[in-house]
Amino acid sequence: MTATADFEAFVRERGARLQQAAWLLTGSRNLAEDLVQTALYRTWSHWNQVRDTNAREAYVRKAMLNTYLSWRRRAWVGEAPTEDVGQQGWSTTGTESAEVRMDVLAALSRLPRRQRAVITVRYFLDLSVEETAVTLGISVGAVKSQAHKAITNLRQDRALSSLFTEEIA
Amino acid sequence: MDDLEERISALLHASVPTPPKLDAAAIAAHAQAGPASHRWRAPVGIGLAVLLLALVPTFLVSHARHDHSGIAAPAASGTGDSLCHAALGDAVLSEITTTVGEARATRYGPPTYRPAPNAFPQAASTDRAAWCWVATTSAGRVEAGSYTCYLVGPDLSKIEIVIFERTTVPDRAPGAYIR
Repeated sequence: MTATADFEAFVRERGARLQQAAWLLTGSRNLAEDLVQTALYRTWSHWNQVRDTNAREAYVRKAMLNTYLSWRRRAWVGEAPTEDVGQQGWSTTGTESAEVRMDVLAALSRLPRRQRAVITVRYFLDLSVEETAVTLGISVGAVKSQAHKAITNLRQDRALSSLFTEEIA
Repeated sequence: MDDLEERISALLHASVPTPPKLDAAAIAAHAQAGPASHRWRAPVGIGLAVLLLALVPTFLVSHARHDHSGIAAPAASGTGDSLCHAALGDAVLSEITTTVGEARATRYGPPTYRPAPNAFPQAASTDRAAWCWVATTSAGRVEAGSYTCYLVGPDLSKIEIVIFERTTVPDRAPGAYIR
């Protein structure tokens, strides 16, 4: 298989999950698509140097998170979560209602960017603490600390507190 | 994971919408070509830019001084599939090709400012778009040394982005001037 065909197969197979993670990071479908595509562009030049599919996904994930943290520092202050009504292609077939989706986005948007990244990588992409640390380029202790703070923030967030209260009750 | 972590994880998984399938072939093609902000720096592009910088201001000054009947500056790029020429006609002085995705992500000026974050909502991120510079006009007259940048989408709709006061025709996308 040529590098191009290999790359295309990877995009088809893993692109959706990466876009969903990017949506949780950015709160925008447009930005999510841009973020994933930017990460893919950046990894292309090293594509043949990484043969294993899982290693490639880790490489793209890392590029995506680096890009997100970099973009966020430079350009995304003041982001307001929206559902991007009218954006073609995305379907809302998740089990949660649109209201809950918006609440989740609103709560995530109030997290510091690194906490948001930890939450997305650890609890959506389902990586271990160690893998999360490698992806974000921080220590295992920092992942645990950031995750703990993020969960506390989410639990106390005005948009999500009722959800947790209901579930506990 | 403890109970609370599992609840967070379940909430995230249940909340994410299903994205469209990415156009793998288009992404691969674009990746191979390199990002638009770098493509124009290729040797051929630099050669053309030097040529344009040498020739176009001469035309512009000439028209700005002597032709007040409207935009009549010469086109710097006139390929048959030019988005700029299709949308703006012969007024186009320079054209920088891009993609809708890159255009949406472009920023300039204040650190948080992106001029077109939701441009062309019906278009895919990989669709072609173009930054088009034309001479600024006021009441039908060309303003010498003033250039307006439009973003033109795949459907040929145009968005006015910014006006630059410069002595030469801009040859880059607006954001490229601050990178």
